[in-house]
Parts: sequence; C-alpha cells; structure tokens
Amino acid sequence: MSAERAGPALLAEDVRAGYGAGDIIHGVSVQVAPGTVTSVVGPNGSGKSTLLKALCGVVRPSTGRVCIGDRDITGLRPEEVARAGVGYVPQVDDVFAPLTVRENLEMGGYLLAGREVAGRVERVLSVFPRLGTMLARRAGRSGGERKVLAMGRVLMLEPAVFLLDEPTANLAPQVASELLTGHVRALAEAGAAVLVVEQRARAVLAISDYTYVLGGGQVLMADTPARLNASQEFTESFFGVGPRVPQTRQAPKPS
Amino acid sequence: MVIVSLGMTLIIEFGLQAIVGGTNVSYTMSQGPTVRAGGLVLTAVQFVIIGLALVVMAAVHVLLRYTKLGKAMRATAANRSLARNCGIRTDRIVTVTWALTGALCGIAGTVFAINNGSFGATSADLFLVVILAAVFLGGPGQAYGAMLGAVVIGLATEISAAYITPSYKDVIAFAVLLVMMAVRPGGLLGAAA
Amino acid sequence: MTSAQLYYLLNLLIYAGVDIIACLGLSQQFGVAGVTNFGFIIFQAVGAYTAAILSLPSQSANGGFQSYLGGWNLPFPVPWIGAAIVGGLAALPFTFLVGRRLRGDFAAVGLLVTAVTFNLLVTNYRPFLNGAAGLSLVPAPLQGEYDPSGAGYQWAYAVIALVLAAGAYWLVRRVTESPYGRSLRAMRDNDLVADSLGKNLLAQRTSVLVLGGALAGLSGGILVGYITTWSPGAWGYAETIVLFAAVIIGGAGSHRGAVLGAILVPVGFEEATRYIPSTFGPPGFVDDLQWVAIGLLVVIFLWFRPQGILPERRRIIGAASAPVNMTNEDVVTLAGPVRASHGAAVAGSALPAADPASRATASPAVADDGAVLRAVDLVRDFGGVHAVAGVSIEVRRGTLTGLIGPNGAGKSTLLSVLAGTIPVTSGQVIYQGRDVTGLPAYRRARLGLVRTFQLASEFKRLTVMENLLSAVPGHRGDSLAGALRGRRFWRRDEEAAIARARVLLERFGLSSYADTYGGDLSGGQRRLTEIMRALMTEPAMLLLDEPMAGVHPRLARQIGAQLLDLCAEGMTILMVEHELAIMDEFCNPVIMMAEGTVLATGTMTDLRARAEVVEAYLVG
Repeated sequence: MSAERAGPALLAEDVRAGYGAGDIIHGVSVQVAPGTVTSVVGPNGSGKSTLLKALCGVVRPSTGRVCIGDRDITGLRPEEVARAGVGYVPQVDDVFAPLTVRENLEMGGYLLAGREVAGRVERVLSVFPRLGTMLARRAGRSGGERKVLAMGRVLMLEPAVFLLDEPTANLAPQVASELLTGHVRALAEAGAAVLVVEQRARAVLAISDYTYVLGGGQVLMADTPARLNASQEFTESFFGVGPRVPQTRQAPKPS
Repeated sequence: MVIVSLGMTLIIEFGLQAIVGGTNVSYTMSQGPTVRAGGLVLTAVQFVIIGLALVVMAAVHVLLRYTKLGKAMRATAANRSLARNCGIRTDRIVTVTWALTGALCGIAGTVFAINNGSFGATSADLFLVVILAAVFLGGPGQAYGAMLGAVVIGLATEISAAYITPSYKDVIAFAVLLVMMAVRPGGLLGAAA
Repeated sequence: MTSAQLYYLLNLLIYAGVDIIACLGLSQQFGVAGVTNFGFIIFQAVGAYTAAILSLPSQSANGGFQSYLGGWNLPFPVPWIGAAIVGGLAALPFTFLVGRRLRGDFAAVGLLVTAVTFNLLVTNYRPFLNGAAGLSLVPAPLQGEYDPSGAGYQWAYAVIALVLAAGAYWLVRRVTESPYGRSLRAMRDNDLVADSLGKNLLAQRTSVLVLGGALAGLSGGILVGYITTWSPGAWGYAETIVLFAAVIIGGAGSHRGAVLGAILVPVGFEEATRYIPSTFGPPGFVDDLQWVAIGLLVVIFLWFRPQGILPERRRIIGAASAPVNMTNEDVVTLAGPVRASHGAAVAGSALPAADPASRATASPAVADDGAVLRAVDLVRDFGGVHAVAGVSIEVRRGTLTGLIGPNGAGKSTLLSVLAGTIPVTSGQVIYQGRDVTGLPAYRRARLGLVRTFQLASEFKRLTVMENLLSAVPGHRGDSLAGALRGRRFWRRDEEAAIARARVLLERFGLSSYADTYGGDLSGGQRRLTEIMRALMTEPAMLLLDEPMAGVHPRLARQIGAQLLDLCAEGMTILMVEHELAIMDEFCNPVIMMAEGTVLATGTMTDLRARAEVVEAYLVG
C-alpha cells in the first residue's frame, strides 16, 4: 500500500453518536490517508473516545457515514468492521486478561486461516521482541507490557486502518514517547492509515502528519502539527472559553 | 435471569413428563461383571462411566485450551467487546456454548440413568441443586472450578454415605456449599473474598 | 348454591387468604427490598410444622404411629402465633447470605439450596417431623368446642383467614409506605449508593427476611389448621417458583399486585384446572401441564411485562404539585436571579432548616484563617504509582474552589481521599480544625463533609422527591420500629424534610419534576438531583466530582450560579471539573494539578498566563 494511493483509507462524514440520552459528538468529519498518522486531540469530554467507538462499530452512529476505502461500513457491528480491515485498540480492557500472551495474539489473528497464524505471530514478535519472553504468561500485567501486547494483538491482522484510543494513557513519559515515536509511527511507515486519539497533545503532534482538535463534540480546528503548534488558538482551545461556534479552519490535507 | 432459567426448567421438565408419562422406565442392560479395585467394588458399567467422565473432562480441557473455538469461548467470557473487535462473532459463540452445555447434560442424564437403574422425567429434580452446588463451590465462570467442585461434591456425598445414613448424603454437599458461601464467596478457584 | 358448591367456595376463600399472606411476604422481600429469596417456601413450612407440633397431642396419642417433637396440645390461637414467630426467627440464620457483598444471584442460589436441604433433612430424619409421611391428624383450631366439618365452622375459618390477610396487607403497607420502605426501595435500586447514604443494608435485609418469614409462617399455620396434614411433598422448591410467579405476574413491589397474583396463580390457576376432566391424557397429564403453564407464564411475563399486571405505583408525596412535565429538555429555567460573576453577595433563598453557615460555626475550632478543609502532604499510592504525590491544599470557608488538571493528574483520587472514600497512604486531612484522616466516609458525612459521585447514582424507581427524601439522616421513620409505629410517629420529620426538599426543588428549577422517576431524567437533571440530594444532608462542605459532566453548557452555567449562591450563604465547595469555562466564570480560587501534585493555584486568568500550566495540559 503506497502513500501515493488516491483517496483516504478512512473517511468519516458528519458523524453523530452518543450512548443513549443525547449525542456526544455532533457532526464530526475526519479523513485518514494511508501511510500517515492522523491524531485527534482535545480536552476531556470532547468526544474523542466516542468518535473512535463510532468508527469501529462499538457505538452506532445516529447519522453520518463511515467508509473504509470504497466500502461503507456505517452501522456495522464490530466483528464485521474488523473483517473490513479495521484494527481497534481501546483505552481500557485492551487485552484478554485470563488468556496467555500467545493466546491473546492468536485471538488477534482469529480471522486468519489456521496455517497463517504461526507465521504472523513470528512477524509480530519481531516487531515487539519483548513479547517473545512472555508468551506463556497470563496477559493481565501492568502498564507498558500490557499496552505492547494490545498493540501486538491488533497487529496480527495487519489491518489497513488502525484506531488507537489513548495508547499512552497510564504510561510513564519515557515509555509513552517510545511507543509513539517507535511503534505508532512505524505502523504508518508500513503503509497503514493510523488514527490516534491522545491526551498528550505535544507528544502525538510530534509524530503526526495531520491533527484534528475536538471540543464539545465538534471539530474546532484541523491542520498540520507545525501550523497548530505555532497557533495561539490551538493552546486556547484546550482552555476554551466554552464551546463556541466552531470555526473549522481546515487547511488542505497533505496529498 | 435465574428466575427465567427456573421457569424454563419447569417448562421442560413437566413438558417432558406430559409427553412421556409419569412412570419410570429403565435401560435393559446388564451391569457387567464386578471388579475389585483397592477395597472398592464396582461393576464394569460403573468403570465405563468413570472412564467416560474422565474422557469428557479431558475433551473439555482440550477444547478450551487447544482449539480455536475454545479459545474464542474463553476470550468472549473474558472481554466480549474486545472479542468482537477481533472479529469473533460472539453471538454464535454463546449459542454454541449453550448447545454444548445441553449435550453435556444429555450425556450426564444418560449416565445417571444407567447407573441408577430406572428413571423418570422428574428423577433429575434434585440434581439441579447438586449441580448448582458443584458449580458455585468451584467458582462460577471457572470451567476447572466446576470440575473440581463436581469431584469434591461427588466424593463428599458418596463417602459420607458410608458413615452416616445414606439418605443424608446430599445434605453434606449442601452444607459444604453454604459454608463456602459464608467463607469464600468466589468459590475454591475464584478470587478470595 | 348446593352445600358442595358452598364448601368449594369456602375452600377457595381459605386458600386465597393463605396465599395472599404468603405473597405479601414475598412481595415485601423481592419486590420492595430486592432480596431474591428462593427458599421462601421453607418459612411457610416452618410455620406449618410449628403450628402442627404445638397443637398436636403428645406422640403416643392416636396410636403413636407418628413421631415428632413437641406435641403440647396447645389451644388456638397459640399455634398460629407460634407459627408466625418461628417463621420470623427462622430467617435469622440466613442473614449471613444476604448481608455481605455476596452477589445477589449467589445468595439466591444459597437460599434455594437451603430449601432443598431442609426438605431432605425432614424427609429422612423421621423422629424430627415424621419424615416423608409428614404429620397428620393435626387438630383443627377449637375442634373441641366446634365441629370442623360444619358449615358454620368453615365460614368462620374463611372469615378469619381473610381478616388475617387484610391484617397482613395493612402491616405490609404500613412498613412500605414509610420512610423505611423508601430506604428499602432505594436499597433495591442501588445498594451501593444506599450504603453510602448511611443505610444499613444488613439490618434492612434482615428485617424483610424476618417480616416475610413471619408472614409465611402464619400462612403455613392457617393452612395446616385447615387441611390437618403437612408433609415434605407439599413444599418442594418448585412451590417457591409458584409464589414467585404469583408475585411477578401480579406485580412485584405492589401490594395489590401481590394480592392479585395470589388470587390468579396459586388459587385461580390450580383451581381452574380442576375443571379439565382428569381423564384428559395419561394420568398426571393435567398436573404436568399446570407446571408447564406456570413456567411459561413466568418466562412470558419477564420478557414482555416484567412489572406485572398491577405495577408498583408512583408515590406522589404531599400536596399535588404542578402536572408532571415529561419533556426531557436539558435547559431548565431556574428560579432566582442568575449571578453573572462571583462575589455578588445578594442573599438568595435561604434553606429554612439548619443553615450551613451556622453548622460551620457551631462546630469546634475552625482555623483562624477560615480554612474549612486542609490537606497536609497527602499521598495516595496505587500499586507503586503515586496517584497523589504529596498534596497540601487549603479550602477556605464560603469559597467555590475549583480543581482542574489533565487526565491522570489525580484529581478524582484526591477528592476520594478528602471525602474518606479511600484511605490515605500518608498525610492528614483536617476538617473544621479536626483531624479526620482516620474516619470513613459516612462518619465524615455526618460531620457535614459530603461528596457526590461521577457516575449516575440516582435511584431509578424512586421519584425525584423520594430521591431527595432518602438522603435525610436520622429520620424517625427510617427504621422498622419507626415504620411500625405509624405515620403519626414520623410525620413531623417527614413534613420538615418535604418542606426542605420543596425549597431545593424550587431553587434548582425542578419543581415540576418532583414526581418523575429518577430513571426518566435527562443527564443534566440527574446531576442536579445528585447535588440536591447531597444538600438534603445539610452539609457544611461539599465535594463535587464533575457535576457538569455531560450537561448542556447553558444549564452548566445555571448550576454554577446556584453553587455560587450557596457559597454566599456560607457553604464551602470544592469542585473537580473539566469544563474550564465554568472555572473562569465561577471559581475562585482554582487549584491546578498535574501528575499527582499541585502545580499552581489562582484564578483561571492567573493560571492561563502561566506557561507551565498550559504545557501541563498539552503534554497531557
């Protein structure tokens, strides 16, 4: 999958979604091109997690459209979305705690044909060598190792699109930085489209090709990290004076 | 959920009795020669039953540990949402699990009838509670807990029958369960209270 | 009416009386308090056996073919009284199953197992209660003076049974329609929250087990006096299912529902099948169909109409309020002028009862500088991670102090430590000059330091008014004894509480929602209800955990204004919040945390100007 392919790998248009009484996100549109890292940042409660859940089918959008390549996956159940080539790593409950590390990876490869699984596990272990030492152990370990396993699990399918929900949550800053600059960036280098939601805005901007700023369930700004970092409005959006009418200054995406 | 299950029990049990009638029937089969083993006297058929139980336990173990389906069942139990994100069709897994449970119970019923000599539609009445006792003893949600609980309760009841009046043997089982609930609500293999 | 038909009718009435009493007891446990007692039939059996052995002559009489305990040949009404008492006492050993944090379904199974065990024991141990054959030739009440087979006697029996049923109805109503009943229902809806409001779950569950047990026992006594025999076959665990079916179909938690269920299921159902000729199908076919039908009914009702035919009715308290407005609009017009900025000291509507300001001054030694709450070097670890890593803060009286910070900064943990929900690893919490570090949350609440929770904690099947009233501490009607003493005993406390609640509802603009079920409220209205409920406990200081989460911005500002009014009246509030616009407008000072420590304190404008604060948010 080369970066020159036309058309976004993931496209969400005007998505509204919530958990029952009232929507959390009110008409959000994002695009992710293959081979790039796109980040979504914003203050707490801005709807970042809900956006990812709406994209992977865990939450059903009330309106809007979600497409993977040419295929419309709006409203599909999560197991069908996985079959469409979307890998999702949730923020919490991200591994199968009572299963061993190897079994976790095997579940990640559930959709693969039987004989492919072993080979795929080898490939994942070469990306995350630390997992190789823990194969027989149960998964429910702490912080960093657990997150690495979660990433490994989703890597098994080698999906076209990765959705990562705050991968550095609860990690020490050093480990967080490694995860982002090393592994997350590497996923995009390998050709996948990566959409990362993060609290650590500075850190994730450093590895992103494009960034959306969410606030109050809407896109407040969207631009390249370089321009955002230089913008006063960007810092203000984290301290927003209330959710005002969003002025979506969308700079053209890098082709 | 428990109430619904009990309601279903009534429907199935008495529906069955309505269909097949109330008299007891039995398998016409001989129990085979008796065998002495270490102080116990068992018939050949009883040996077969024990063998069958071991085979079933092993089969369940193999299913859960080594097959894709079994691992998917454990994954679904551990984290249903994540299982779906892996592409596992969790609804189907649950249906298969129920079917498997039914099949295992069918085997258990047949074995019970063979051992007991005769049976009717309501012979298994008491078993419901023994089974519940075994499962909760081992820790609900733990397959191996259920196995352990079953063995413990089975042994406890039958051995105690040798020392106290046989009709009370099930009481021992229930007493064990109640003590467990007071002391260690998660069961033998579950988390400590 | 022929005499055969008359006898049949009287028979029905007596069974109706018995079943009504039993169902009322079960409805109390299952419908009102949420205790699933699958062993319920034991209590009826215990009562029946007790009445039997109290009224039977000694063993050797009647040719000595039965063996049993007791046999004291006591006259009516002693056996029935004994039945009720022993039925109630029999409940006490089971409290170990329902008191602890044992999952509801485990406890239910435990009770089921006990029922079966007891049946087994009785069946097999003949000297106890004559084993499987059961007891027979039990004397009917007053059979020395009257002829039990006469029509007059049967009439009297039926009348007495129905009178007792009416009495049971009155008793159950008295308990349920009291503040205690409200606490029971709160426990049913959300036992953890009820616990945090100070309700003693173990005592409450024990009391309904005993009360239900006594009623079941009485029903057993009445029954055995009529049919004069009682054997284990009559009370297998399946009988409990019949009673559960009755309560569910009639309407769990509603007394009339229990009565209706009793008439429909045990009586109506079983009698109706009488009319199907018994030669229909093989022997026992009709009986089996009965069971199948009961099972079907239970499943169907739980699927389509779990609330039953006559559902628990909504309690509308006090004088009729404005018609219930069922729109789920988030934007609510609040009474009283909206404060545009903090600091305006115009008195809003004051709470009529204990004024929070006086609470603060009346208590011992507030520190000279007016700090109501002080944290000294607080540390709280979670498995090696310092969630709170040495925090010292001070909250001054009458301030609306904000607590902000990025995710993982430790704000919620700090709040929990200050409230006493979780203990400190080290450090001190000083409240009103007093070291409360060792006190658990409910004790701090009694001293006036009260917190709210992030997650929804309203009682779904109580109205908003009932939600508020459930929080009142020390209510005279909030105990079994208090409830039994009747409305006159607790009326004064209740009326004072209602008045306070009405003022709060008025103040927060939810007066027209007073009779709306907690479960029907929108997100913003739930937040308001939680705050009002906290206020009902007459706190001196409130710890609010994200009160504006999920609330429409306009409503959030109105809530902010109300909080400011409360502070002007002397309340002190520490509020964790993400909505920084609220901090801007209402909070002074604002404490900013990051990575477990306090980074800066000041107004939002001050904080925003500080580079390290901005960085902390962006670094995350």
